[in-house]
Amino acid sequence: MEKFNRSKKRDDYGAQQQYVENLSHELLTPLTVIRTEAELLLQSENIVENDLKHIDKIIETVNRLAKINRGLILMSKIHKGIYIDCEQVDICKLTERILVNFENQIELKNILVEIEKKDVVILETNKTLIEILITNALKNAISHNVINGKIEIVFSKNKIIITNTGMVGVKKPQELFNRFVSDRDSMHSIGLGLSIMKRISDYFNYSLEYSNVEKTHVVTISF
Amino acid sequence: MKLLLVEDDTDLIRSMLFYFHGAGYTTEKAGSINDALEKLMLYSYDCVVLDLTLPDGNGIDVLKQIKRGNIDSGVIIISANSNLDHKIEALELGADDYITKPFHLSELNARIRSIIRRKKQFGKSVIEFNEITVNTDSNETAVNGKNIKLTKKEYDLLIFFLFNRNKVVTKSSISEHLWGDFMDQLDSHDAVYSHVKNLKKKLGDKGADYIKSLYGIGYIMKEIN
Repeated sequence: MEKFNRSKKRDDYGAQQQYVENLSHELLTPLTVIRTEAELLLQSENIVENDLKHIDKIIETVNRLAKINRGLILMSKIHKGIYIDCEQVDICKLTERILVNFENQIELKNILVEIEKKDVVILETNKTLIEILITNALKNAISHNVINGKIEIVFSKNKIIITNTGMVGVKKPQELFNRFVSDRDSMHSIGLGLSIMKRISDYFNYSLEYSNVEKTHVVTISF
Repeated sequence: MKLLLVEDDTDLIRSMLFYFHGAGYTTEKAGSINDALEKLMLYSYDCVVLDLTLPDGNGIDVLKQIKRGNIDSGVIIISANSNLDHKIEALELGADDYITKPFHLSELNARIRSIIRRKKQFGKSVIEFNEITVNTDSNETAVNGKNIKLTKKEYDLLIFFLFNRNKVVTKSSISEHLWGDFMDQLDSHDAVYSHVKNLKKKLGDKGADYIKSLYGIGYIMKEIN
């Protein structure tokens, strides 16, 4: 009986995930309509500055919704096991490649990036997911950094440690990984990004730890 | 330039018709596979904008028919699915490009222009705007016949402006065009600002005046009145 309940629970969860994914896909067209209508409104010639601010807000909010929606779809896909294919990935090389994407943002904040390779880290893993995981980690280290700040990336045996300067931490570290908890004092909603990192780490049984001492923040991913 | 928009959502098709009409295209719409195939048999189009989820089946069938019938028209797929496999399948079947919802109209427009240019070439691969010329084969940009050196991002940005000339493009659409959709908004908006500033500087005094900022929401590239 108990066994039956357990498997039923799992089925319910699976069905629920599928439902969430279907709904997320349904949202994409209305989101496109809001975005395109806002873009159309912008083309109007007799629009005044004050109106533009409202349109800007609409566009910004659609972007936020789109991002949340993308996160939901990704989470359902992870659950469904779509990212099951594994291959050998050189984590140091991948990290360096992702950093190139962020070079403008790093330059603008004049952030010093230091990379230390104690060991070569090569994993048998899914390339798409590991890329999302590292991208999110670096994105956080950059967007929550300060002008003239610093990011230190250390690769050691089966581990990557990302340390960044930033503001004094406001949330309890363990709370940060819960879905949709966000640091409201910051302009960004970081909750989803972190919960995606957590989900991917759990999927591969990697350990993901965050700690902070005053203005220094450390994320450790152990593979 | 003639476009066929295949999409079953009436609101979305309305926005697209409105926008592309204003951008100087002749546009027609089809709300289903049958509708699209019928139009494709009767008329010719420079580009077909094709949604995949249609009431009477998968839009991929329209693509297959276009290829089977040797119809000389570009095809850009719009889809709700960001799955890489779907993208690859569509491109392998002969689609020219693939864009996922929710897209920006300015991005869709830039991609359609690029497809039509590639198809027709108009005899040359140069985009001109007064004294500015961009050669899309050699990736060279010149102002008054004199080459200027643009970074990759500045070059992409200039092409995006040129394809969307006379239209307001938002900071978000520029940011997505340059970095993809994974970038956080605020950081990339600062980066957009600095790239636009540098591009304007390189385009010279007159060139700089073509690109106007619109109260922090976006930019427009147009003739000086």
